Amino acid sequence: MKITVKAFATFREILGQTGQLNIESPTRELDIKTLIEYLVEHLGVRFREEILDENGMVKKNVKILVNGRDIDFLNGVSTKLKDGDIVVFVPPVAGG
Amino acid sequence: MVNLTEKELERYDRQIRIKGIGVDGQLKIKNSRVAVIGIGGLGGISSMYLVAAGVGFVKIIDFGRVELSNLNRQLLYSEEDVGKLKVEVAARKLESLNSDVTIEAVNEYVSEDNIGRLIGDVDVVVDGMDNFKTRFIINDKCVELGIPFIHGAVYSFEGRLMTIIPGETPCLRCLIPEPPPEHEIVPVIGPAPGVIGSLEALEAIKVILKIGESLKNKLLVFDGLNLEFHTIPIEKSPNCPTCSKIK
Repeated sequence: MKITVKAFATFREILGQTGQLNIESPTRELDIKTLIEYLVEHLGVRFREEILDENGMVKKNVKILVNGRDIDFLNGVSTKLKDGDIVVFVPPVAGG
Repeated sequence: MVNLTEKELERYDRQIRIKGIGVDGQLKIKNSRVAVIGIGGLGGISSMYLVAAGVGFVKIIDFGRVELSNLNRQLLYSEEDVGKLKVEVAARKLESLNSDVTIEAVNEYVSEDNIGRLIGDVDVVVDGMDNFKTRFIINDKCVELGIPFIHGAVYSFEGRLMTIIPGETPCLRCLIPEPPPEHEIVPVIGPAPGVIGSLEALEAIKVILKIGESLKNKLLVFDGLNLEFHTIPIEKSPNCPTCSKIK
């Protein structure tokens, strides 16, 4: 199953300047929670600190979209992914 | 309602020619009052467009002085302005751009104590801030007073934009429930706040004129590095501490 991960702002810098990762998952069952676990494992501590709070929950300020839809209005971190899905991480930015 | 002078008809000719503006629309712009809070990368650009468009009263609020590191993006300021109060320099430049507009320069740090006084007499508030602590103070008071708030923010080659109409759309706290950690110095390339500051002015003008589709219930994410504009649907949060106070 192929998933495209895109990210903005501080997250983009962790993914590299293109801000995009193409992931080939060996498992057929993948949801946002397991995708984040995979990304934390591969991208390291900085990604974890950016996306998860001290309780290991996704920070409320980070928007996660699956094919343009906010997972808050899907099934949260339990939102299931399917082949070809595009997952986008949008952290807040503050500059003026 | 007063009419436009011959000089105004000539000055605003190109926008008066737009279907949906005309002389009536220009009068609405002339009779409108806008506050721009933060006169940096975003607010400097949006205030220039608002003043150029003929918004009758523009209140500019900032508490800083011009620094050399501002000049890559804050086009209101020049080398000779370094060290001077931003609102004083900005007011002078904006007045020279359009002497028909009343500019009120306010050199104050925005707080919960003064925000009501600062924005209580305007029709629209434009976000030129660089931190969420102050943005939340502005957001909460705009929602309380029913004043449209045009939110903008930038980072690196990116920008965000959202038009908040109290009672109708989600507010800033629906989008961002907790203030994120503040980065002391945010990396920014000049054209990014140029794009977002221009769009903030555009949204403010549309709100004044009540034309077109405002960026309601949506967050615009501008990706300057890939030159893409994404819009993300945003819904009111049932748990929003600010929106829930509206009857």
